[in-house]
Amino acid sequence: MVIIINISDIYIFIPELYLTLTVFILLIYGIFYSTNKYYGYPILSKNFGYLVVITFTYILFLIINTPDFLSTYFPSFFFFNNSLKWIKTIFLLVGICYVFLVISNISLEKLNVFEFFLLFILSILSIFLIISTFDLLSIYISLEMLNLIFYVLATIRRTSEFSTEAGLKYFILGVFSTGLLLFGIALIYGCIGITNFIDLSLFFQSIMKEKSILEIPTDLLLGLVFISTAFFFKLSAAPFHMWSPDVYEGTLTSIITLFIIFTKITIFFLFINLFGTSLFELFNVWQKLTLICAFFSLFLGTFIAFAQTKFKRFLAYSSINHVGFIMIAVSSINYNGFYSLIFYMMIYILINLGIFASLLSLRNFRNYKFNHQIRYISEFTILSKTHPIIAFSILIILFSISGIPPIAGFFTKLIVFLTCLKSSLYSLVIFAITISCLATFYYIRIIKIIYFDNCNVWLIYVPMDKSKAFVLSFSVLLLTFFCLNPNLIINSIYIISTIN
Amino acid sequence: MFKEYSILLTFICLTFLLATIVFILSYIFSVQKADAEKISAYECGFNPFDDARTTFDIRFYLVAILFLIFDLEVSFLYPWSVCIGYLNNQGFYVICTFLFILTIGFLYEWFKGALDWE
Repeated sequence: MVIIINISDIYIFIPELYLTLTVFILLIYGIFYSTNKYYGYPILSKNFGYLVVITFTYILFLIINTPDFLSTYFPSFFFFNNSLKWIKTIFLLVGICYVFLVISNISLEKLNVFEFFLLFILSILSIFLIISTFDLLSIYISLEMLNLIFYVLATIRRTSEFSTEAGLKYFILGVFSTGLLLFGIALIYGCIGITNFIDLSLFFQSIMKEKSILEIPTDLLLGLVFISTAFFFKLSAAPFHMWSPDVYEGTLTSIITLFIIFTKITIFFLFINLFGTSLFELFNVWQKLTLICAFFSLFLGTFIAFAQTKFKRFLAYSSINHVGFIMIAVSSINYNGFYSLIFYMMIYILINLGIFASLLSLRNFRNYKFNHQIRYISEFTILSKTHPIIAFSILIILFSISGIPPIAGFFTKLIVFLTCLKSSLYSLVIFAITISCLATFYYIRIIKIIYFDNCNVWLIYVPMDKSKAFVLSFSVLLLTFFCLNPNLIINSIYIISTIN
Repeated sequence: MFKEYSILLTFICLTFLLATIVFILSYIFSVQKADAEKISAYECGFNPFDDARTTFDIRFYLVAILFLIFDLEVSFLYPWSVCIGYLNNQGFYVICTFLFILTIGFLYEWFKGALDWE
């Protein structure tokens, strides 16, 4: 096999190339300045944050101006089509919003490592590589790159034992799940000798014309099961969700936004790329797997969240619930499934940006040098009197998570249920509707704690800064006024899902 | 089915046997009469002043990790250097980019102070 890197590949690869060059230059800049005695060892973390925003706007410009292609590059390891342009644009916009969220918390939390934003740029690079993979091997390489970056980010606060314990748990379990992924890839390769997605799809299309699903060799189906298990693991879908509450509770809140938003979306896109296009003929197998995971995720995500008293663990179980809903959309094998999935993703991004904007802004102010992030749900108590706007934002976002009309979350769940009904998964819809009714209890309980509980000691919070307020208002306004003019989001989803 | 692996099986069994024989024989044929003075810790004839264990210095781990990274870099250089005669310009520039990326990592590590033993 001869690997030829054509010069025309460079046109498609320019955004990623620019990202790598930016990482090199920023790394050299950071290391030479921050260890320089003449400049007084400056702390460059916020500087890097603004540089990341500039970089992302440049890359947005680069991506929007790439010509319309449909090709594979680096001989068939990666692919590119027009919808990928818009998905990358969305990732960059969410990345810019993330930098706005986190930029002032860095000085409050005294996180003085400049490598934090460098790792963030690298994670965006690896996300770009993941969503454009076209080969089983490059899934492993790009997914492992993202995971390594996130293992390091989980333990960025080296002095906290809580954080290192969470990072170690994440590392061990994540590496284990990557081992499962590799084993599945090896089984598939060992059975048929094909790793490229196009070859896989041609193979399965020709095979399924003649044989039935029962005559497919067991190694192949076992490889499929292992690969999907690894993906469910990374997504924290039940019954592989055990690591996520501990990891989400231990790591810093600034980094959990990264984990919750970016990992789920990339792995769902990867899931669609692999199972929706190349292994689509085996949908009998993977539909059952995703159905089982959807069932368990919904069940465990709601029922364990009843007993949670800490807010980040609660958010972890809430995201397991979300993953369950997205699994329902994935397991309904019709075209609307893809559409509803992207719609759910977008509202999921907005919800999480909003909830983390409000959570990151609630730092309890003890004195001028000691402030800490609130941890328990009961610490939300008198928020309606001290911070009425933040309380109202949390109300809107919790209504969106629980699916109360006319907030946008209701429409996402509605469309997911309608696609599910279209592929005749009736009992799953009934189960999901009852589960979401049960789940509204503890979302409304938080609203009750915010608005109606009394306490004797009122907490003073560090004032919210402008960039966080911008992101919070952006998400809350989009969520509330989505019902009046849904075209803003629906058109972009239509563009993404129909260009293929 | 796998006739050519029979030699490996005999090899494994023989090595296992040899190792266990050497280990067990020394246990069986030695005279063991444990005495309180004989099994106590030895520190130049005196009673031990302090605990013999010290905390593990993290510098050793750092050196091992750095060795691993750069040793793997070198081990990627070896096959390239063997077949560079058959490759065109692309072969040269690929290894240039590889070494460039690793040099940037080396600069980072150097200026962060990972190479100072103090």
